[in-house]
Amino acid sequence: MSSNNSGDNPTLSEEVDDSSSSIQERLRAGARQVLVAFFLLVLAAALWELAKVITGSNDRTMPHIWDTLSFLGSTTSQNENYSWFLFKNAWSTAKASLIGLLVGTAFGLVTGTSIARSRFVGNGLMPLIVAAQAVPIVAIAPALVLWLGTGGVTKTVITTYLTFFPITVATARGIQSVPKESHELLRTYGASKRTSLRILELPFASPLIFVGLETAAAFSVVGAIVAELPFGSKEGLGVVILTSWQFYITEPRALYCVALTSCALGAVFVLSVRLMAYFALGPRSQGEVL
Amino acid sequence: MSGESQNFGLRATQLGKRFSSKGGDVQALENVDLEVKQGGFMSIIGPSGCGKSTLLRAFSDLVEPSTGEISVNGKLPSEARAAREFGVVFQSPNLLPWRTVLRNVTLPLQVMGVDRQSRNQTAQEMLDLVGLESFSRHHPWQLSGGMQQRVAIARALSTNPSVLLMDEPFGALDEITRDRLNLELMRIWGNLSATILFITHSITEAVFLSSQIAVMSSRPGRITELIDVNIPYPRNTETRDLPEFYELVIEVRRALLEASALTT
Ligand SMILES: Nc1ncnc2c1ncn2[C@@H]1O[C@H](COP(=O)(O)OP(=O)(O)OP(=O)(O)O)[C@@H](O)[C@H]1O
Ligand SMILES: [Mg+2]
Repeated sequence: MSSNNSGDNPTLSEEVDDSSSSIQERLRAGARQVLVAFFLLVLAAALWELAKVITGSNDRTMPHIWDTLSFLGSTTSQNENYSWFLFKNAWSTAKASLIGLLVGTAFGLVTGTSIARSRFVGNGLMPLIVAAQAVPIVAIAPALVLWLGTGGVTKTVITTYLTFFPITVATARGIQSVPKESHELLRTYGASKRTSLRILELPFASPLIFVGLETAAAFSVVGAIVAELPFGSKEGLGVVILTSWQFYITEPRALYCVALTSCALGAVFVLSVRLMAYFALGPRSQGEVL
Repeated sequence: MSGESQNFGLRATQLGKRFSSKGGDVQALENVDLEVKQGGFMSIIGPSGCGKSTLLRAFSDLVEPSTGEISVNGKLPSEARAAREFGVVFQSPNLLPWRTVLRNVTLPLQVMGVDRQSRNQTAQEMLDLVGLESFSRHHPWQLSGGMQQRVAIARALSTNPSVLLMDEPFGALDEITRDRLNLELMRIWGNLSATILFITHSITEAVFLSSQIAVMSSRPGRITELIDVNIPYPRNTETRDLPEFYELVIEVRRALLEASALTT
């Protein structure tokens, strides 16, 4: 989506005095972020334990963090390591999320561009898209499953549906905010619509599009899990969540483990997008420019 | 495309432009006659809002004239644009911040489909010309305003245009920097022999650069006076100390005052 920063001339070995983007500086900034994230995780765990003490919950409803984590090492009825079992299902969910995210992004880029380009399309389509966003997907997911089956198609439809919206809005907004002078600049060189999309509009909009993509990435995981919840699905984190609900009374730790796994998957998705943005946009991903 | 008009880099005959909007119509230009010989340097000076940018935008095919005729190298502006005969320098540098300096300069060539290697080479030459050869890998935000404007000039020159349209390119700069860039522009122009239409609010800048100065009045925007600057080129720092220079500055100031008096 952004071929902009590919650097036309890697052979020019002139020194770049841009100290803000030196490798060391970047690594240090990255390390700092990891540290902060780790600290927040520890804090969350501490709060959990504190809440447990304050509310006087028993170990059944609120198991200790370490108890929950130790459950990851247990064995399932299929004689499988529980972590491996979770990983397998997470992998299945991840695949579905990714497909939906890609399809939704493609649709979103096209729709967003058409909305920005044509007032007619924009005025007609935008309210529809916003209205469609109000449909509670969890409510209609079972109906979709009845209609499209429990296979990959349903998952893709639901995740696409969820990811399409943030990308569309971000793309449309981004392209609409290209300054008039930049358009005039390209016009004086007789740039075609396609060229100006490639050289000007998409690169200009890409920081916003990446923000939309981050939201979409989180939505895609939620969408895939929701698609797996209806009875009849065979694998995925949604299925594991469903079975863990059934056994919650006897083994609450299973549910917490799969919940943590879902969070982790979402985090992996969002962070991957952020990393992509970082490499594609450089300092612009930090909002330093524009 | 008559043989006669071929000699003019820029020509407007009875040019008029009327903007219609909800708040009422504005006659931005009326009966404007302007002729710039090929290789000539014409400055336009006039009160704010008198239609200078509109005139320049008409030449650069960004504004459609309401009446009259207009030509660039004897061609319609749209044809001249298609033939890449003019380059435009806007009032703001108008650089793309995600592109390096070099890639900002290559932009017009990229649009034209020139291959990467030759467009990089041309851009590097243009950067040499404006004295920014060592900043090719920087980004626009790492440059001062004056340097950014020089990049914009290098970009406009990259297609080797025979006509340069410049809308207050140094308007936002301090006087020292402006003087320096004026000198640089003279040097560049001497090497290129392009036709230049140059809009400015600075009397000394207009006198220093131009072979002819058109003074405009506003509402409706029209040319009230044409002043020839008979100071031989090449011009340099000493030019500003010549008595002719002072006389011309005084004459342009008077013409400008008269033009402003016409405006109510
Ligand atoms: N696109 C437009 N729509 C409506 N009116 C316009 C438009 N462009 C310019 N005008 C009007 O035309 C008149 C001339 O504007 P123009 O920008 O050419 O002035 P200018 O001489 O360049 O002024 P300045 O020195 O401040 O840049 C102004 O009254 C302006 O309001
Ligand atoms: Mg103007």
